[in-house]
This record gives sequence, structure tokens and C-alpha cells, in this order.
Amino acid sequence: MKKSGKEIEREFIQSFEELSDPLFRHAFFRVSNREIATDLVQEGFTKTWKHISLGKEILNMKAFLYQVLNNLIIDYYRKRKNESLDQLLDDGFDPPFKGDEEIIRNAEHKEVMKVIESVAPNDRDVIVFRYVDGLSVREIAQILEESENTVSVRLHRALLRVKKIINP
Amino acid sequence: MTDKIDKFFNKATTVNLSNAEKENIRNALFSQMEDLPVKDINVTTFAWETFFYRHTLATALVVVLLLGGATTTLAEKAFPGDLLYGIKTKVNEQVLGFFARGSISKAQWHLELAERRLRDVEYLSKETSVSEEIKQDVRQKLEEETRQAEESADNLTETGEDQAAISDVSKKESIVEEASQPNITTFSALKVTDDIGTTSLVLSHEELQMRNQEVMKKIPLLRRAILENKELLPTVIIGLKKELFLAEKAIFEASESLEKGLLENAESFVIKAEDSVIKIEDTLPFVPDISERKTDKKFSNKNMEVGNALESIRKDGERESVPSKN
Repeated sequence: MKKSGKEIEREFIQSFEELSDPLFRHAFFRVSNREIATDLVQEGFTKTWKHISLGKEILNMKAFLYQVLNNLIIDYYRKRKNESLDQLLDDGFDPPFKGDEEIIRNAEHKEVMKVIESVAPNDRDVIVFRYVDGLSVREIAQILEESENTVSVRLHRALLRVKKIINP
Repeated sequence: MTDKIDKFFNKATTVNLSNAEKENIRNALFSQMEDLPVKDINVTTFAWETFFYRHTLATALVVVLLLGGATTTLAEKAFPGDLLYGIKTKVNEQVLGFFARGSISKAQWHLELAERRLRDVEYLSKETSVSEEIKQDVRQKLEEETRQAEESADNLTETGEDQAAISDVSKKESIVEEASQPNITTFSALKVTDDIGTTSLVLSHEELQMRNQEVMKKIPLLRRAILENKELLPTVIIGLKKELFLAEKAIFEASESLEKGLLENAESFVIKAEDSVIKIEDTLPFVPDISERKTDKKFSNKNMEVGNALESIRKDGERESVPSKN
């Protein structure tokens, strides 16, 4: 079956409109920096389009975009692995909001971020995928290229840790 | 509690791109889409005919398994001397082995085969109705599979494919470089110390039995610890599984020697089993049951005693001077 260039463009733009916010949320809670998260999301879409423009087919756009973004986050962390969480929070968390409501929201975001950071690195991405991005275990397994069983185990382990922190 | 967690993480869903940020990305994308236009492409629709054509062998195997499913499933539970044992080793294992591609999968498969043969030998040790010839044959196969399993596990770190697997895993394992890197080193260390402590000091039957049981108790704990350690690299896992298998084999051989009253042999097997366990414990970042870990010191001390004694033998070159604990 043939798909026209226009059709592919339309589908890609639709994916951007639907997925840019969830992908940004995913990046934001992983890198703790709004500006960097925005750049990573843009780079993710750019790389994906490059891939499409080479005539390569993407069977599951959502999973593909999350995979690309996840790899970009990993690369980012590799570059910055020596920086501590405090440093990241100090110089990274810089939301351009004003007003009481936004301050409360920022505090809440920081709280969520701290809980996420307290989970073992391996399990952290699973928690973000499940509870921040709202993906199913099957979708997470597809993105991480792991079995559903492995994802469930990681999720369970991470949840135990989160429960301890939220409800000590 | 799940509601509470959902509620807690709901706070995160208010994080969105601002209109301006979204507009910027959109503009950048549109400009890139203009620069790199896409042509019409052929998209894949799933065609069974194409699948069967491209995967002839796999299809054939599925058909064979479907037709002979019941037999092959039953054969999996067969032991030497059973009617279906031949199907288990000559058909099922050959088919499964065919799918083990790549050095890691092959090493895993050899370990699986070695474990299967060990189960067979353990079964035969209690079975009186099976002929000595079959018993000998299975024993030989156990030794052969053990050799292959050790060889393929040890060769893993030298293959390029393994390096690819490591980089693949390190990519997937996101931010755990600091956790995974030491494991590579530990695994190399694990290989270096491969052949220590096999010379014999004659201990009493009871003491050997106690030490053998102590190692035996650790096996399920260690197996669990290996399975639960998600940050370990595949090569390290194979190395640990190899040691686990060697420990299990040595435990069985020690029990067998103890039954026959061959204390010297038994002791050498017990020490082998203990060495393998120590290597695993040294490599694993944690072992689940803390109460079991409490016995480790005692266990390690005993091993150290034996190690020290052996060292003094090597230095003095006088084996006769070893103090017997018996």
C-alpha cells in the first residue's frame, strides 16, 4: 500500500499536537529543567522527521517518539552524570511562571520530582512512564524493549519505594 | 494506597509546554519539513504469505510443534530411561538450540543444557531401574555440557557481539553507568580468581556435610538475587549463572562422595562449591536475605582458614605438615 507525502506530513503534525505535551512532561521530570526538556522534545521530533524523510516507515509513532526521547535523555545524563540532584534543582528548575497559584504548583512539581529522584535509576523511567505519562505496562515494555513482566517487576519495586516516601 | 499514588502523581500532569514554546517547536519543525520533504512510501501491511515465505524454517517448526505439540511437551518432562527422553534431547533441545543466536544467547543455552543434564544425573542417582550404561552416558554428557557452558561463558567478554550487547544495555539502563561499570571489572576479577582452593584438607564427614548444606541453602537465595539485580550486564549475569551452576554441581558431587565415604573427594567438591558461592557474593551488590548473610562471615572465615592453610602448603612445599582437622 502506498502513502502520499502529504498524508505522512499530516500524520506527523497530528502526532506533534497530541504528543508534544506528554513527551515534554516525560523529559521535564527526567531532566528537571524546563528549557532542556523543551530542547530535547524538539530534537526528538526533528530526529524522527529526519528518519521519516529518508523513506523509513514508523509502525508505532508514539512508541518511536518515546524511544527517541528516552535515548536523548540518556545521552543528556551521560554528559551531566557528575551533577547532583541539588545542583540540578538549584540551577535547573526554572519555570517562567508568576503568581501564588504557580508557586504552589512549582512546589508540587518539586515534590513529585524529589520522589521520582529517590527511586533507583533503573526503575525511575518506569515510574515516569506509568504515572506521569500515563502509559500502560504494554506500551512501556514496547518503548524500553523489555518484557511486560520485567516492567511490572520494576514498577512494583519502584511503587514500594514511593509508598514509603509518601506514607512513611 | 494506589489512589493516593495516583493523586500524588496527578500533580505532575499540570506540566505542559507553554503556547510560545509549542509554537517555537512547531515553527522549527515546519521549516525542517520544508527542507527535508518526504516522498510517497510503501507501507507495510501484514501479509501471512510474505511471513511464511520469509520464515520458512520458523513456520516449519511451528507446524511441527503444533502437530507434535503434546508429544514434545510431554518429552520435556522425560528423564533418561523414559521413552520420550530421546525426543527431549534430540528434537526439543535441538530446536531450542537452533534459536540461540549470538554469543550471549548461546552461552545461556549451554548453561541451560548443563543444568538439564545435572537434573538428569541427580534423578539417575536415585533411580535403580536404569542401566549403568545409560547412567555413564548421561554423566559424560553432563561433563561435556559443563565444559561447553564454561567455555562459552568465559569467552563472552572477548567477542565483539558482547560489546554490542553491553552498549545496548548501557543505553537501555539509562542513568546507571556508575552501577554497571564496576560490574564489568568485577566480572573480570571473577575470571582471574577462577581456579583457587581445590586442593584438599581432610575434614570430618559431619563437618563436610554441614558445610555442604550451608552452601546448598544459599543457592536459592543467590539465584533470586541474580534474577532481581536488573542493573547487571548480561555478561555478568552469565558469569554468575555459570558459578551458580558449578556450585550446584559441586554440591551434588560432594553429597555423592560423602555417601560413598570418599571424604577427600567430598572436601574438594565442597571447597569448589564454596568458592563459586563466594565469587557470586563478591560480585552481587546485595543478597536479599540479611539473616542468611549473617552466616557469611563464618563461612568466609572457614574458607579463609582453608585458603591460608593451602597457601602455607604452597610456600613450604611440605604437604605432610598440614594439620588435620579430623
